[in-house]
Amino acid sequence: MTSNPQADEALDRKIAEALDAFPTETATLSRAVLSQLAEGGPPHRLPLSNSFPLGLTGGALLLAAAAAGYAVLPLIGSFELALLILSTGGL
Amino acid sequence: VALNHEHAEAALARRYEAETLMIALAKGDRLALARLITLFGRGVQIFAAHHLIVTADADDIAQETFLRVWSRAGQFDPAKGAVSTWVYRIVVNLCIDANRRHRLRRFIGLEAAADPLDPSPTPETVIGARRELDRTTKALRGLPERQRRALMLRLVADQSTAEIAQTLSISSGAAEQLLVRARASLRQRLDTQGEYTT
Repeated sequence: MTSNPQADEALDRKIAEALDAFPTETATLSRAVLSQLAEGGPPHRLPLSNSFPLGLTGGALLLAAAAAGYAVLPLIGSFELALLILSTGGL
Repeated sequence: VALNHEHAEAALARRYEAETLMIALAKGDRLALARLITLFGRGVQIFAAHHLIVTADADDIAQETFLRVWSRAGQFDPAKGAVSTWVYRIVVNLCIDANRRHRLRRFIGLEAAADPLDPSPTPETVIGARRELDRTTKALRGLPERQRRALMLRLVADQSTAEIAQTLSISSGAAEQLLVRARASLRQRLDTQGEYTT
């Protein structure tokens, strides 16, 4: 199946002209979107580089902090368990 | 030739304006969003109305599109394509999801089949331009979804074949074939109705 550019263009133009009668309200759409934003719509996400300007170094520091937290958390849990056992007079 | 040249210049100016607006939008400029809606809103509404099974949802989809444009403006990269392809990719995905949800709800009996010719024609609408619109809408709605999607991108978004391919994430050859088949099928449907004998 092949195309005939002139006939295609004529058809496209006629269809587009017919679609011109389609009722739309751009002003209403704009108002609706802006009022949703004013009511606290979706957050405006800035590029990651804007909100996290340290780049790789920042990422590495964050990972290190997370790893340290992950390693320390069970110890805190054990300490609290030991305190609980002691406070209830042992097992 | 002069008309084509003017058309190309106008398209280039629109593209440049849209890219400038996206830069402002990424910084949180709401006026830029309002202007972007002026540029793309009508096309987005018409595209959604002809793509959705439930035409009445077109306004909701258009609103959701621009809310996403707002929240994801920082992710737009002009090196990867025009604003038009980025915006219409959002619309296409929202319409596909909405149609999928509608089909599922209809399948499990939660929703009745939608009236494809919504809004219903009234005495005023069956005359002149509105009659042509109803006839065209009916013919467009008879096209397979993928063909209709490609043709609507050409008609309301004024996208080139390469841009349609980019919007739909398909090859240029596949986009061209969709357009060729869509036009052939549309001609046949409109000829049957006794119109558009081109």
